[in-house]
Amino acid sequence: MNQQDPTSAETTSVESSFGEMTVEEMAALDAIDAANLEPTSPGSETRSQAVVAVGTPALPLPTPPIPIPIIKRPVSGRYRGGTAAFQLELRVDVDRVRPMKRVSGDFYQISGSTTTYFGSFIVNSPAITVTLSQVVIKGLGSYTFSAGAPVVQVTIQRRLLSQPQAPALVQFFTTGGSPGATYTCPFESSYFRAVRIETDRVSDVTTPLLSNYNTGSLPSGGPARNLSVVGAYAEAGIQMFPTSGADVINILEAGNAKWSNAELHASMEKHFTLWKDLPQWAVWEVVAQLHDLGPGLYGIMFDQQGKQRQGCAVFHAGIGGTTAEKLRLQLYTYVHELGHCFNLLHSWQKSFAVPPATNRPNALSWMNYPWNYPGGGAAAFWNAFPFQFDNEEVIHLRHAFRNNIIMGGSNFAVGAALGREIMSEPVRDESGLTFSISTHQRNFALGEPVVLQLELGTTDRRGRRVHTWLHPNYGLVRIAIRKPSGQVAFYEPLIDHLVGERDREMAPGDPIQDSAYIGFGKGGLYFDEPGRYQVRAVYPALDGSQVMSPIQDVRVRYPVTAMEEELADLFMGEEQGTLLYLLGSDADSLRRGNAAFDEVLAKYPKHAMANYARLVKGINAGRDFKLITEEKESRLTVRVARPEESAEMLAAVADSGVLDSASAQMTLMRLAEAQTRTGDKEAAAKTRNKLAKAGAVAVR
Amino acid sequence: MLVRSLIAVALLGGPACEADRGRPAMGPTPSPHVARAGEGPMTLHVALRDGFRNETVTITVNGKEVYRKAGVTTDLTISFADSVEIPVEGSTARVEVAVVGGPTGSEEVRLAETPFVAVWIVEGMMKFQKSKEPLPML
Repeated sequence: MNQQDPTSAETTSVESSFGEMTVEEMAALDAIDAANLEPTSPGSETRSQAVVAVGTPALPLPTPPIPIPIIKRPVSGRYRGGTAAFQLELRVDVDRVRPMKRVSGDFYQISGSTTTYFGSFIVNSPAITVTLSQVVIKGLGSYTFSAGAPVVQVTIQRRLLSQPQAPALVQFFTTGGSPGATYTCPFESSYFRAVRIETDRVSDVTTPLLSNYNTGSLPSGGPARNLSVVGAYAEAGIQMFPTSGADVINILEAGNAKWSNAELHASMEKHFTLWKDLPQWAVWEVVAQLHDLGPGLYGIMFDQQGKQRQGCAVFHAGIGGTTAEKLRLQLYTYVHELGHCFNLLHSWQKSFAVPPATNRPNALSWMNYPWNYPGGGAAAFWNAFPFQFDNEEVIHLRHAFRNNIIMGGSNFAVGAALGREIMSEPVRDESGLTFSISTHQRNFALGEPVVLQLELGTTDRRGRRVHTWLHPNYGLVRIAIRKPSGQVAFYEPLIDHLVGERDREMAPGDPIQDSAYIGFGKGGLYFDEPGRYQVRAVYPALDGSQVMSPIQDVRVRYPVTAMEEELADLFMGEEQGTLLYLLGSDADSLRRGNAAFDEVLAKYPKHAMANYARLVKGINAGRDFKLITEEKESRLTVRVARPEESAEMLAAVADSGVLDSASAQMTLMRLAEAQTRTGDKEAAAKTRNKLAKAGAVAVR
Repeated sequence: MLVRSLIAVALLGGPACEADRGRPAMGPTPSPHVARAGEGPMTLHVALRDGFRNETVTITVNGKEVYRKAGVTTDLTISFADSVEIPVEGSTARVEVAVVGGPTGSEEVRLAETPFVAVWIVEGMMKFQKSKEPLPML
């Protein structure tokens, strides 16, 4: 089985002899499902009965039987199951309230003690086949990753109300019909998603917080019911769990009794008991009195920094009160702001989403502005509003790709799926290990080598046994690089190193460190354009856990001057990348790269970038370089080391201060060796003293 | 950053002003002072709402440029980009809003009736929405 594609499998036999349903039959099913009843009159016969009739021999009966309603359980809701490698959260949406006739799911990759979000899919237009005994939903899915078997088939047995809910059998197929992975997912909930909500209030709020509103109190477009915030989301299929962390926030935190967005964010970090700067199904709503923008601001999803959409605020200066109108407005505002936290845009501005959707200014939705309603303004809106989200919003709430909806996922208004989700945070990490990466400078010139420092530690007081192959050359640690374009590339070392076992016990405070040049590999130059990059490394622990580092930002500067542009050109070639990776070479195939570095040294000897050229050439000069040749009988020629040249170049590099600490120490070691070979023992001793002062860092 | 600009100079004879970037974000005025005709200058409130994405925007009232700002961007969560209050002599004002390199539009405003003007750009078209009270935001 392909461990990197949860839809693939070796072989699975699948029975797929289901006919497809016509639109007329779908309409009949809708009618049936609305009542959760099988048809009871001849006039309402559906294909369900027809299927049964075909397979059942007709028996002559003296009188027609009285049809007995057979009440079956609806099948819609959330299911969860998996294999040893992947867990699948499945959402089936073909009956119950407002069925959207879709199936969607999220995959989580399990590795040792870690679980990481892998990717999502949705089947937008499935064929739905219903018999008395089962529901089969089948269609081509859209995925956030490249799925080898993209066709999804979900089969759920229909059960009586007295029976427990049946699990969903999920089968994946290639477009050619070959079977892929199979998952059996037990039923989990009739809700599609579950979110924890914490509601705090500020001490100066003078009017009561909303509990619920009877939608029949004033004219409306829907049935009268007592509706709360939790109830409004429940109607959309989202389960909200209020937390017990409700808090009263001292208004003094706002300084001047008005809240700025920055103050709200700081308050969220302080008072939201579940807050973390990572994606999670948790949201904070604070009831405050007044925002800086005045009482005309009823509410705001203020969280637009870091991991966004985790908090929103409503302001009672504009909406507080106990009249029916005010309670209606409170409910509308409370639900509306939380809608933004779910990454819903206003009804009329859907075209501003990424990717854009169709504007729906006429939508009778929580996400509209009643006073902007084109069909007659606020009065007309309220008269027709059924207190619900519109269909497209319900589809988003139930079926959006996980990172496009989860709080702390994609930035507000960004709904595009950009590919493999290695950049997502682990949802569970009990590995007892920490893995961090860093660069010695925050930004780099275009063409400048990017070197990553890697550090493995443990939080387990008992210590942990770990392997020490941190360098990506060894093929164990993987490094993902998100480019400014959004494309995610995995660093692949130019040369694969086969390694054996190298384990040791590691105690807290005794980290393992290494550094790696990641600017060039099998994928070519990885930092080949100016802009902001994000880098993450993953360490595979001995127990199989995938320990993720935090994301490291790397900015590559635009070349501003003609000199910077020329230097970028001189460094950004495949041969130069190879020379940096190998730390120099005499290979004839790399002569243009060496020539480029010679040009750097000739034209810009004082520029900081010239030290990388010196490093490459200095280390190479210090070694005996062996070449295989056809010209000699032994086929081996050796270019002997040139220690004087090496020492001169490496001494300049060591004094330049441009290198990261590990590379600087390696340079000192090589410099001391070269100085020793030249017979300058005094200089070699000084260099070794410098090296000793620099401290011991693992250097290959 | 959301910035409300207060133009403290009467339109007639006053120089065109760059918006005051240093003031805290404000938005719809809590208690709008709308003077009646004959009581002195009335206040015109112009709010730039949806559809502004790093735009340079100019606002001209009765032929006088009263606002010019670069980088005007809508906060999509509240459909609000910026606002400006302009004292106006007389009971009516001709408001012209222009996005450099983008749509333009103008509207006649009767200050005693609808002193609040919201400007929206939807699908490339500029729309004016006049009201007696400030339009709420959420």
